[in-house]
Amino acid sequence: MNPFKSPTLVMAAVLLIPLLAGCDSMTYDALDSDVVVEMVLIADEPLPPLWLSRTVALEQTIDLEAQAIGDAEVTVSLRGSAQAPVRFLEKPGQRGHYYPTADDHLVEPGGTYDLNVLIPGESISSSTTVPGRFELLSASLDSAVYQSDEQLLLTITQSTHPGRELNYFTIVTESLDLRAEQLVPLAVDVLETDEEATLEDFRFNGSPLVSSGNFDVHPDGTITIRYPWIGVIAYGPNRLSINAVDDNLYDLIRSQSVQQGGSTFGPGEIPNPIENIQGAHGIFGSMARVTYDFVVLRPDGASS
Amino acid sequence: MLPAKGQQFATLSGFVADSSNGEWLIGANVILEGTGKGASANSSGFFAITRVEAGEYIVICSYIGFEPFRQVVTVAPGESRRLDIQLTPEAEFLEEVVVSAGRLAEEESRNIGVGQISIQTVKELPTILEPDVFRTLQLLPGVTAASDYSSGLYIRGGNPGQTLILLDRTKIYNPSHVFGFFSTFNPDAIKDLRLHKGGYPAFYGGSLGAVLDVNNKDGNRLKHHGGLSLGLLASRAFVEGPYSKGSWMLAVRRSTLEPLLAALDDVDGIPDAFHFYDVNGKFNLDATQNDRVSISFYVGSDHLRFGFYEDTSIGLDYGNATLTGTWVHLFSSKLLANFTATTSRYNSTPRVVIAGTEIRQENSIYETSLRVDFEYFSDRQHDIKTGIWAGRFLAPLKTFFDGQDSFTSRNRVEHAAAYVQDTWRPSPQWLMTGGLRATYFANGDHFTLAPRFSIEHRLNPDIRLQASVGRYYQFQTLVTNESFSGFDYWLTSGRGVKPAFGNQYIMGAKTNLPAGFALDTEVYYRTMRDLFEPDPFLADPSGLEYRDLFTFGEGTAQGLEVQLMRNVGRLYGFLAYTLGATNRSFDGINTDGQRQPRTFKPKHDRLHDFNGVVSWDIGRRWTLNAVFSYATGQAYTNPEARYQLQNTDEITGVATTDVLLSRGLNGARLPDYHRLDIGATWKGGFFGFADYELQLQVINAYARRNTWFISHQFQPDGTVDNVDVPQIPIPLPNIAFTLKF
Repeated sequence: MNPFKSPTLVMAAVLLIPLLAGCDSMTYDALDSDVVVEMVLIADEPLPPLWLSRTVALEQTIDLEAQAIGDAEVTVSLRGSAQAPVRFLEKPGQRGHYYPTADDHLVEPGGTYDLNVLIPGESISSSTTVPGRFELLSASLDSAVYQSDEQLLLTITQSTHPGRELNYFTIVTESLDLRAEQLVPLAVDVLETDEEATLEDFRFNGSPLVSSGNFDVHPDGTITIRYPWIGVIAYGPNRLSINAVDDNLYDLIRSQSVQQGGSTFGPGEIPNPIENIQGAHGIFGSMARVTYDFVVLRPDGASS
Repeated sequence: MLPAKGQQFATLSGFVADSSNGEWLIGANVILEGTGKGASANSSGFFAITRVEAGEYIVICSYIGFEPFRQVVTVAPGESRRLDIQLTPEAEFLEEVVVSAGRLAEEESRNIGVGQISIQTVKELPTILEPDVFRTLQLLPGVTAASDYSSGLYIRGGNPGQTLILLDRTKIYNPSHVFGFFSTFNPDAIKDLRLHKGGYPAFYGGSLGAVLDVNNKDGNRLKHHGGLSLGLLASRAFVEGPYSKGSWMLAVRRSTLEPLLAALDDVDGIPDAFHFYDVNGKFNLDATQNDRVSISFYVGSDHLRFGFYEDTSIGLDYGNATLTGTWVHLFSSKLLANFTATTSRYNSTPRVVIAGTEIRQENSIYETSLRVDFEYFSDRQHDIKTGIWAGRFLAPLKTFFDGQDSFTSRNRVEHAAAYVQDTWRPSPQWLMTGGLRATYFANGDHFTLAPRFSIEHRLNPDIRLQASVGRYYQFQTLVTNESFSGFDYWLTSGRGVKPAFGNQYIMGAKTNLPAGFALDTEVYYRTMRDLFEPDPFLADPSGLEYRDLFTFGEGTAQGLEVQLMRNVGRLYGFLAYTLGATNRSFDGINTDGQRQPRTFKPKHDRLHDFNGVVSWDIGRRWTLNAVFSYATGQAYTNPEARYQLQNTDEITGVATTDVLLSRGLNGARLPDYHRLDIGATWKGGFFGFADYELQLQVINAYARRNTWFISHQFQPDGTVDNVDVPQIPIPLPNIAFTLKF
């Protein structure tokens, strides 16, 4: 019998090929660090405290006290500066919270800061270049009727960042008079229907990352931002912050938001965050910001 | 056969049609008995057998579901003999006695890389609310379903964007209803569909992976005919008939959910309004014996209105339309030409208004093209196809935020392609097809050459061995999300963005077994290079260079497909098994500590995928159907750890930010998937005036709770709820009633 003229043998021969080639290999390295750093410098403001903690297993409850890391050596230094690195010391009674020993240092716009953390057996480092200082040149209104045609226009200078032509902003609105009766209709509905929502959840409302490419650039290089009503959560006084973020914040915010869905990843596909920190997770980042206070009036013209 | 002596060869050619309605039969097999000579009817229903020695022959023509045609034909030396064939549909069931004829008819649909499923099967099998072409195709080996909620075709490791979908030769974009739940193809309107899962010939181009070629019905050339179907989701109606010089067809489908939506008006999560519709039509002019002109169109659209909180609203309108004009001209018995003009439009306009702020996208595609194809049947056993195709692709994409234009991409591309393809049959045992396709894509000034070659050796009447190798290019990328296709859009290669390309290597064996069974096996290996997809981490595309919108990557896919079929007798169906593996690697995705990309499994990767489809005619007008599916659990990301940033309110507006950590993207597997669907069909007649069909079906008959994905919901007390989001978790009944007159 010619073996190649037997259907069964032909099938068997063809079957063997991919069986040899097709294997389901899915092995990945284990997580290599469980230290978490949190510190965001703000241009022209004092050095903020550093929060050190550890990751938890997914099912484990976040317990700030239990996850805090004490007894670490923390320094932050301005690259190229003659000043000695600023030491951070753990605050008594606040395990994991480290405060700068020098309280007269203001974060330098455009400066590059290096973070070094030593924990027994572990070494963590990161750096951030602070976005350049920018200014609020003008605001078109100091109060506006909610959802009226007349919207707040803010004209700002542009921040600068080495190696990047575009600025990326988050625009955060803080209600300065947060009360349930001050909430706009959308927020009232969310508060009433979402069992887990609390009033405090509505104090801040932030935008996703927004590129300066969204806005018209004036001949003098300034840009005008039209503040959208979607940013307002409560009537009354509000503080609006325009934050120009550094690369580290940009990477973490954009990748963390993808974890929440909405990108081209399918349901259940959760990429890891993009973090720029060696030996740990978290963020050592920076931003520059301007703020503006204005009042949102109810459609009947009242502010409260 | 009684051959006569003669030096000049004759040619036997013609069209093959269904005698009951005049529809051309694509792929019907015509042979000269005892000679090994034969041909298959092409997409125009035309066949030509050349190099026929003068003499007397028995011509046999066969097509599955039709009585074999036999006729004695005598040809003279040098004669060009026209033989138009009418095949008569089988009265009821093809019995074992005609199995050999059935085999002949199936050969065309069992060419390398080809998968075919009949429209009758689409209508007959248990279905989720509405018969669906794509969901039926998902049962074929090598075709994977993403979930119960998606009709997307994941073919041989490729995503839906890697499949070129043609309706009457016109490319159709986002052919889906209900945001991906169903495909747009109305089974009442379709005559024929053929899926090239891979290794497709030079005639086609522009797809890295597969081609789905769908043809609308021509319309009944003999009598007026119509039908009406009532279903839970939608109802359908069609009419067709002849006129003095040809035929026409019109098929309409519309969702009928309004009463249900009205009844559920107070239920959270139910849309305020939703409907979809589609219309297919075709008009044929059989101008002369050698000239046929047709115009066909498709129009379909979905409309959704939804409000999720006070002072919010979502509106989404999307749909597509195609128009095709075709002139088929037979220059001679050996030369057929097909002139085609196509236009395809896709439009999607999602609009969200939240607290007075409007976010809107205008996403359109306008594609027009002209193509000319020639098919020449030479005396030297060569079937030569050649053609040119030129077109323009216009895809404006605009995003508006709060009344301002926040992103604009205006892809306008001229493109042209030419191909030559030669199918050579040096002997009855050997068949070789070589081809070369050249493409110019103006955006980015890309020129590509794609050679393709396949070979087939018939060991004996029951065994065919096949192999194929080819290079494939793709100039567009589909931007989609598996769970919602309403926002789909396309981007193209361009300056700094090279077209994706890949090689395909396929080997197969097609065998006929006793008792009407057939066993097909194929193995494949694919490469994918220069894949370009929008960077999923892109926060805001505004102000970026075109190239910076993308991430670039590569991938491979390999697999084994086995299909055991039986198309005759009272018990028929198929068993399809796929052993597959595919992976991807993209810049910036699933990186290691050095920011180097690591290979990952896409969600649609399945090591094992099995589908069993069985139909049993139990007599007394009843037919029972069952479909059982089993697949390895889909790849997903299993976060093992997390952390929480405590002071992000002034940065992002959120007090705390939860971040998930895993060992890698899609590094885990969900539990295996399995599901059983069952159905029964009862056919009857109304006093000879009309036929009816009642279908009773249950999807997920044993209530398997297959996991779709796991949602991680962070709680204020610092815990996480891991919610198992199911696919269709309960038995889902379906009832449909169809009337044909």
